[in-house]
Amino acid sequence: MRTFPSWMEDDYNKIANKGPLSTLIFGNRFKADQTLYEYLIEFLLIFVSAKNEDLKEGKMQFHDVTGEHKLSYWVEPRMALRRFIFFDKSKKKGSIPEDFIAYSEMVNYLNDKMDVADRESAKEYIEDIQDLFHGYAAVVKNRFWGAQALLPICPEFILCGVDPTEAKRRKDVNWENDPGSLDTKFDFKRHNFLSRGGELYYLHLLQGLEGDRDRQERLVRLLNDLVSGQCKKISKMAGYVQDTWEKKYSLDKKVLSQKLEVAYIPATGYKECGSYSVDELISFLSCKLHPITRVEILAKGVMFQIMRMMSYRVADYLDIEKPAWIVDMKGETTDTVKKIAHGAFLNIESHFMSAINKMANEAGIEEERMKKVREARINSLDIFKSKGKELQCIIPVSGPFERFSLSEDVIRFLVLSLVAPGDKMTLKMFLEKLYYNYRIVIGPEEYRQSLKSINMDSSLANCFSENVVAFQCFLRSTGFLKELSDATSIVVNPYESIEEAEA
Amino acid sequence: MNNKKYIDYLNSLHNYNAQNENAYGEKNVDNPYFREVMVRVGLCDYIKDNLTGEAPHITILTGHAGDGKTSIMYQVLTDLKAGFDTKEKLSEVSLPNGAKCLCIKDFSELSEESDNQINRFYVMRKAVEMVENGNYVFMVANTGPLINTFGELFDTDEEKEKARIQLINLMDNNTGKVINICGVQLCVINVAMVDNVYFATEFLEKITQNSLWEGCKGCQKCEYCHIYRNRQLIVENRTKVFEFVHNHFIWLTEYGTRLTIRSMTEQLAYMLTGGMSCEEVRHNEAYKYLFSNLFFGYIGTKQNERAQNIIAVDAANRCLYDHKRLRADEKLIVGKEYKELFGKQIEEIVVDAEQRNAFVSGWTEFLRRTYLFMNIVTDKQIILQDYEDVFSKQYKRYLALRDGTDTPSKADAKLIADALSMIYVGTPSDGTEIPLTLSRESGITQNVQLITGTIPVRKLHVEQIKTKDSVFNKGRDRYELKLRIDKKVLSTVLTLPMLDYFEELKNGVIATNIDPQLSHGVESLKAQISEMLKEDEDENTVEIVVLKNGGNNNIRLELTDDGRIREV
Repeated sequence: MRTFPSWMEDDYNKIANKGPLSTLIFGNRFKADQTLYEYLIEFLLIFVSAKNEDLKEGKMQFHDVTGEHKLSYWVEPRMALRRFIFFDKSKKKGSIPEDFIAYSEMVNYLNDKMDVADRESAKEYIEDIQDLFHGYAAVVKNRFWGAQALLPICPEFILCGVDPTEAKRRKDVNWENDPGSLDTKFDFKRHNFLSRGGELYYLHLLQGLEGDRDRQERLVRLLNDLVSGQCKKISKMAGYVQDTWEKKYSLDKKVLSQKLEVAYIPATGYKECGSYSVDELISFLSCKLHPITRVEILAKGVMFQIMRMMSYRVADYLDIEKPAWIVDMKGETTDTVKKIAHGAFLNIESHFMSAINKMANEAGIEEERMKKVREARINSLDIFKSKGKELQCIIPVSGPFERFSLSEDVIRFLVLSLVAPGDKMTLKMFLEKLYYNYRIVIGPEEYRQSLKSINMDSSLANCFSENVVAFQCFLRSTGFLKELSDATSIVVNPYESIEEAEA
Repeated sequence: MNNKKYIDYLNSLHNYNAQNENAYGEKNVDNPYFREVMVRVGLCDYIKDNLTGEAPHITILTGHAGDGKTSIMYQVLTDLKAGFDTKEKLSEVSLPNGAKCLCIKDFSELSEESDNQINRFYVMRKAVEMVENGNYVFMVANTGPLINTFGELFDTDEEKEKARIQLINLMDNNTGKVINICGVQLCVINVAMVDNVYFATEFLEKITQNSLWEGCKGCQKCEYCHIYRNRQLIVENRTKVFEFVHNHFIWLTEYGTRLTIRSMTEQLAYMLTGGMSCEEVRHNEAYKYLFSNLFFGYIGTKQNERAQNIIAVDAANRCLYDHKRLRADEKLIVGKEYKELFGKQIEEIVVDAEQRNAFVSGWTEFLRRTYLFMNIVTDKQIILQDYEDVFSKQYKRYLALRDGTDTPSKADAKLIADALSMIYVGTPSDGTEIPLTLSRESGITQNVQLITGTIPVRKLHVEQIKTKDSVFNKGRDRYELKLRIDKKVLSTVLTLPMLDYFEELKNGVIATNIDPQLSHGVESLKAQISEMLKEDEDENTVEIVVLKNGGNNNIRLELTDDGRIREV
């Protein structure tokens, strides 16, 4: 099968007849352990990282895909910063004794750096800075301190995946003679939590840009503003903590850095929606939102777009019409829309399974077929479902009648990404746009259209009118809907544009 | 039953009996009573001036069904001494300046089909031609058909889309100016976005005017007729009744329920008659059909389900004014000081009703409804208390600012300062400056927060800005409130719900689940403030606030060039 980038096909072929099946279908790769925020973090990690050994070139840029070369990027793990923020506040599993020593060294050293009247308040201030940083934690869970993640509000906070490899470090770390070894003996390439889902999204955008310079420049500018334009003070402070440590032990950033490689996605399937994803992202990022809110909603929006990627790819692979996401906005217990929406959802589930089975046949898998199919389901459909539920766009969280819905944050993302800042369109146009970009069905018109190709009876379409009314109420209460009259409402993106403000 | 015709007319304005034939403008304007009760709308003068003073263009009147578009057209044409034929869809009249004016009574009623000769597209074309030939067009149209047909005038899909979007913008901005869209001179006035609250009291004034009630005086039912009694009570308690009605409709509008003129008409007509004709009037206990009950859809102490079909009655009922505890309850319910509170006539009615109802559920609410409309209390302090209890603490102040009878003061700015301070750091402002923090919304507690800037409280001002729709209502100026920091006015409007929320915040009521509309307002305020302060940023100085039980602690740290941290 063809891949994007095309020169990665050999890598694909190596696993073409053994799997994992989900990688063969969706690209390398989706894995169930990745949390919602980590998709955004990983995507931004590639974007902000240097694309060259010298750790300078290519920062805050997309890869150049004109030449045939592996898409590598060099990350700075910043283990000292992570130790400073997370070590004291988390369980010490995966730590070695030297980590304790290094941690107290670090705190003491920073203490010494303080020009404050008395030592007590210096100590307090250091704790305050730790608390300040920790307040922006995004993923903590029960993880080892090095694998906890921060909200990507500045480049220093965007950190790569780390595996503790306790046994190996106990053996290899030589704190006395080589303090650098403390931070370099982790395993950075196992992709446990940053398990490449963000890479797929990155490739998806890269493919969607199709070498369109203008759009790429615009997107780069806006992503720049997102990660380095807003929280400069935090950035400065975090940079200071890491740099102070490096200076004290004369560590070389290049030695600390790690080279990672982006893999591949299928050549078809994501391509069509890739272009939408780019445009949507540009529109969303142009809105002048509160910097933290912006990141929080973006994380959800990116996940929503990834769900679309999966859904579109399944249809592409099975060579069928893209499935409609029939959305139940009413959420009532007994309702026709609920039933239809549930039916449509079952349909999508079964498409996922058909695709996996088809791939199992194509790859000629016989040994442990059941196991491999199950695994593929966990790493595709189950992600689709569990993340959908986390976004509250698949309801209910548990129990029967699973179906699509839309939550406040997802709607916020949709409005801001489909309507340019300061712009407006009629509700009808917005519903059309949702259908065009996502196959989201809310109203009767779109429902009829979704049935056209499969020639089904659309007599139930009218029960979708109330669905639209519910959607309308929701939009109104969130401040995105204005009524021109009782017959016409307009969807507005009330935010100002960042670009205009700059110009 | 000498006044039967008029009472029947009033009953034809509401839908209590499902017979509201005069609720529709085109029907109503033909009724002889229409002229008597018609409220002159400021918009008419505006349109008249446009049609006579501006260069040739199309004036389009659009808005909700029941907003009084047809009545406005009638008024304008009557003023221009041109007849208004309710049966003709299209008519041509001459304007005083000699030009012709094509009047389209209801554009949306025209057929869409192309086989009908007078279809929408044809009429729209014709309208454009009229203007090209130096004439005028005045049309009433619903938004949907208007947007669609206007787009059809153009050839390519792109042009169609562009024209539609421009038209939508015009409707949304609603400036009332004549603007050229894609070569067509248009003046779009969206009645739905023009304040109409003033209508209620003016209409009430008209329908209770003496000349219309002369006939009742000789009627044999006059002694016990509740319709006549209601009218008399309204006139006698004019100040209080009008004040409450006015306040109520503003309250509704501010809290998101904007009623149309038709809805208000329905409620006010029903409030007088209770849906009964002269024949149906019987000996009834006086308290039952008091207008103060009918206004909320009650008969005596019981709710009347059928009356809730009247939209405005239902909306009034949902406000639950009569369920709110008042400080005046002590005199009203405990002390039973009816005479002092109401005067002799109402006292009799209430005392009479009390004999049978004192222990009936709903009695307290009945007393409060009566109190809302007909108390004769003059003590300013108590009146202010009533405002606070029935509506909200900020309401009276808000009204004064909204109507421009007062200007914003330091106290108003202080309210905002306290609320902002609560939002950012969780304590009321100390009067010096408000730290703005970079905090998360999702409810994760951040004990230490980064201060991204501070607003000196003395630079915080509330600004009173005339609303756009004031141009349409001459002499009825209205203002909205905005926040000004130093010299910059933020675009977020400080609405009444926001002020009420701020008041609660200040008093430490923490609403975790505030309604989305409110959170949107607060959020956009925050976004604008943080954007404003972005410029004066010194990257090397970090200021943080540590939230502690015993009070907040601000710390300023500077990263020096030689790699040290200094407290500043």
